[in-house]
Amino acid sequence: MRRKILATAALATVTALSLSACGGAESGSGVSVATAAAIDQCKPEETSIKLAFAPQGTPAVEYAKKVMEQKFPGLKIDAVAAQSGNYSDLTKQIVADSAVGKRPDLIMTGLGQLRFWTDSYNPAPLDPATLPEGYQKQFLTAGEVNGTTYLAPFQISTPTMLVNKKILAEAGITDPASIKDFAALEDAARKVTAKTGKPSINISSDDLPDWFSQALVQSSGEKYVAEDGSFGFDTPKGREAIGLLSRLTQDKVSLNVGMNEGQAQFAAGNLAFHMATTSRIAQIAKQAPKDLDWAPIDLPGLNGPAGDLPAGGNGWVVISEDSCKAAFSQAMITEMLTKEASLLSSGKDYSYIPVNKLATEELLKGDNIAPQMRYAWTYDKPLTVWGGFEGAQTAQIINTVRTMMEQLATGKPADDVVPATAKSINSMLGK
Amino acid sequence: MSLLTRSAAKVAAATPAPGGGPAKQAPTSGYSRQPLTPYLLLLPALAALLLFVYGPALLSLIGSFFVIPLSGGSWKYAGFNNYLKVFADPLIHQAAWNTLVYSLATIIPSIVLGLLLALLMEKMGRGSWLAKTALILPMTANMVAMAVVFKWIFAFQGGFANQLLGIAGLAPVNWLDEADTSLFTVILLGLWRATSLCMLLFMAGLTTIPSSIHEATAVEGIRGFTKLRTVILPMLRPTVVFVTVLSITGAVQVFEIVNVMTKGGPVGSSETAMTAAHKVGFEYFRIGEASAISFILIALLLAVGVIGRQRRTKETS
Amino acid sequence: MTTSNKVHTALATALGIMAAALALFPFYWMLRTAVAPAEGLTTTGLSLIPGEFDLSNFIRAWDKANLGQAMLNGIAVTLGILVLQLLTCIPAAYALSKFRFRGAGFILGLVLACLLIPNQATMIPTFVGLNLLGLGDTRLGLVLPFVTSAIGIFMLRQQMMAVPDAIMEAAKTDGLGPLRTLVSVVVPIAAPSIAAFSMLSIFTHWNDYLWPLLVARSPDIMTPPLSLATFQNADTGFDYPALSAAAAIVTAPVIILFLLAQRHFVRGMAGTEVAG
Repeated sequence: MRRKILATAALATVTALSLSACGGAESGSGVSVATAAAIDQCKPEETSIKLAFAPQGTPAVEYAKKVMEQKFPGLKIDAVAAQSGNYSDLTKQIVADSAVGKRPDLIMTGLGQLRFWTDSYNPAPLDPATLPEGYQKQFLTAGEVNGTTYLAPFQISTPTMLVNKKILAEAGITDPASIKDFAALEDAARKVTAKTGKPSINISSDDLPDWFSQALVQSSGEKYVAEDGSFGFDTPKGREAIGLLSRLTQDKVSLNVGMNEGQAQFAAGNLAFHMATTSRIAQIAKQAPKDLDWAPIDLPGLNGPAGDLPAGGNGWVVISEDSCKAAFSQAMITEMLTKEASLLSSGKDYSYIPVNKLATEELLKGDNIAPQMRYAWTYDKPLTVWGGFEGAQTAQIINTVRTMMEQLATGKPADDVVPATAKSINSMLGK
Repeated sequence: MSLLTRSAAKVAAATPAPGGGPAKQAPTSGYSRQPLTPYLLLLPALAALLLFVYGPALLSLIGSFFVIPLSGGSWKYAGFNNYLKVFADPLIHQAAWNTLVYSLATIIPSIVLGLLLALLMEKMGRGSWLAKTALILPMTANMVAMAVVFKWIFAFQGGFANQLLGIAGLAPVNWLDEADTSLFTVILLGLWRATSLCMLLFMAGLTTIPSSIHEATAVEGIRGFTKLRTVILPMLRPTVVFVTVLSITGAVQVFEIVNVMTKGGPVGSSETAMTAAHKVGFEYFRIGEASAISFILIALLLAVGVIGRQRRTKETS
Repeated sequence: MTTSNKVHTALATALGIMAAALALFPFYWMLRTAVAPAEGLTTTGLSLIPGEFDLSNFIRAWDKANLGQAMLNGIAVTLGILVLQLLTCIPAAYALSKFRFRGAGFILGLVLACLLIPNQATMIPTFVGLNLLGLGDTRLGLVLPFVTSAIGIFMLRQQMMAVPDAIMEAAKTDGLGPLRTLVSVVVPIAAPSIAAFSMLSIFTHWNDYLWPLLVARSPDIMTPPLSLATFQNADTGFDYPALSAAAAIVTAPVIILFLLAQRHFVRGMAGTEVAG
């Protein structure tokens, strides 16, 4: 009997504890975001802003931080880069930081993740008029949702295929740029493998699966997201396009390793084809020995390039809950997009397409520009938005797409894999 | 305290101690004139257990009926929706299956190997302490560090495992990036560590067997496998139970080695219960569903503990 | 010794050496990689015996993984937890082994039942609760859920039960109060299991990964395994020498502690699960 009473008491205590905890949650901070105040009504010495960004933004952020501290004496800027340069990791980190009450004011996000923020965090709209001289406003479409600009593109890249010219020449392919359709790509890969006995191409699915698959689908002329927002490429042509991965594995020419490992192999001269982003060209140029004869080529399409590629890279979004912090965050964005900042974010160390055309002009002034870098800086074909599905399920959609690519990479036919992927993504979206 | 914690008690709860069950303990001389003393001594520990074990366990039950925004804001009652979603999610099915495979593939071999190694250590001549030290080391190792090392040993290019295959004239295997081999590779690391832990516990158990027993069996000529089966194992029974319970909880909770080596991939081939819970909670930000997974796990392990206890109680009575 | 015995011992020794080699190999490979030059590693692989040594990997690892700060945090968190656990577990074990009082059985059951609830499984709700208290991303938050340990209470109780009643009576006759008796009589006798439990606690919390992964958001409160995992995730390419060096640094403190105190450890572990 006594035991029963004690047990009841203990249970009651625990319940009370937990319920009071739930009660606390009710009053927790909401998800409303402040719109920016007029900056002259804010006191910099009483304000501090916190940034969250991936390491590739560091030089430009540090430069802009100095400019801001001079312009607004007393303003505190907390800007520590995340360790990982992967945009899904960055989103995870920002959400988890917010969960422990350390919500940043100004965040970098992959262009493909913008819908996640607009759907769940109500970011502050951005006034394009505040952007600095030389900023290429055509990139702003990548930062728009339903006609409102929320994101200022910061570092832009495009999907590309890197080729090792020496290996290809040894296999009898002397003009890699002539590889424009998937049949030619597969044929070249088979020839190289026949010659070397080793896998000759890597298309990774670990780092940017949604972007790579979107690029392969769009360059083949198919839609990634249908008009009604549902899965767009469960069509005969779409399946055939993304089926490239499965055919490469069936032909035993595919290496199937992660982005970093594939890059290491390419730089070491072991790989004929490596699908990459132009932003990695600078890294590879540093990693590779001087005599590596390599070049980026336009991404082939199923029957030759037939559609615009998705813009890669990242931009800045203001998710501050305080109007003064939002105002300083917007001012900070402006400083990160100037010619000087753009040279740091997109120049020699990071081969992004500069978002400020004054920076591009400056970069192209030099002599001895490596042709690979020139390719990265001057890519001027039109780009589409990255992704485009509704935002709340972004992470799960990316993982589902990754699973699709992984399944294809085991050699499973696209006719089985793609419909299943379409079904699960559409059910996530309620379509 | 993680796995060791949980299981010791299961043993205590499961094995009837000489002085009766754990509920009937036999404290002796007390300070009966200061009736408050024991309560005061217990207060800090009990408060902490209520707050950090019972509280969260209950919170996982409560939370599993709500939609909980990670960024703050109010909880929304969701009924059984979280459970329905969890049970319908192919990710969770795969994780449940993989956790079962991982558990079976680590628990049984590690117990057998651990026992054999502990017995072997007793047979070794001089220098056995060196071997003992080497064999206990995996148990103390940092599993994140070891996952990093195993990832490198099993790297497709330049990894030691593939170098060995190359020497044997075999084609390299893409250990961690192929769905067929990823879970197996994770299991190898789990087994490496679990064997060490089992061996340590069996060694500790073996030291409690009095030397008179060894002398008596020697006189009667009982040796080898017969001695193991008829004398050693029955005496080690509590240790065997303890090790089994420990192995089960340890295996079911496997997280860091998977998270570092494969992140559950490829194609979910190495996803386990805890990595799935973490993914649902902190990548998809669905804390309510993650709570449901946590609670199901707690309930399952409690059930295993209770069933195990009942079976043993039946056997002994 | 007979010939057959000698053969047995030799066979056992050979098997034991093989097993030990397998157990040690990952440690060896970690150290071997940590001193290898970083260039061309993933293409050529490594020879079993190092040809050239490059110790700069350790410096790179220390800097890039921010290990200096992490090691300090790790020490603070691990020791903080240990001290708190000893302060809560020793008195609780003492009460549960040497006192007769109402509800003792129920309380022991409450402690033991805690062990049935897996630790990792309560992490997510604990995290939710901790955030409601505003303790996310704090060192206190890293320590707080572990202020007591049910296994600690259990292990120490088992040992304290073995303290003979005669000694307790003698202490009482000498006029020692309950606390004095605990400090000067019971604790010294229970020292082996206190030592063994302390080492277990240190191993567990130095190596803990999931909890810091959830709670430690700022780089300056990260613990060693978390820093290592973050370093591993970072886009540093395939710098296995630096990663191995970082792994070695993170592993070293507990290994050294274990090597120094292993005798106590195995002895203290013995009998914890059978006594009582």
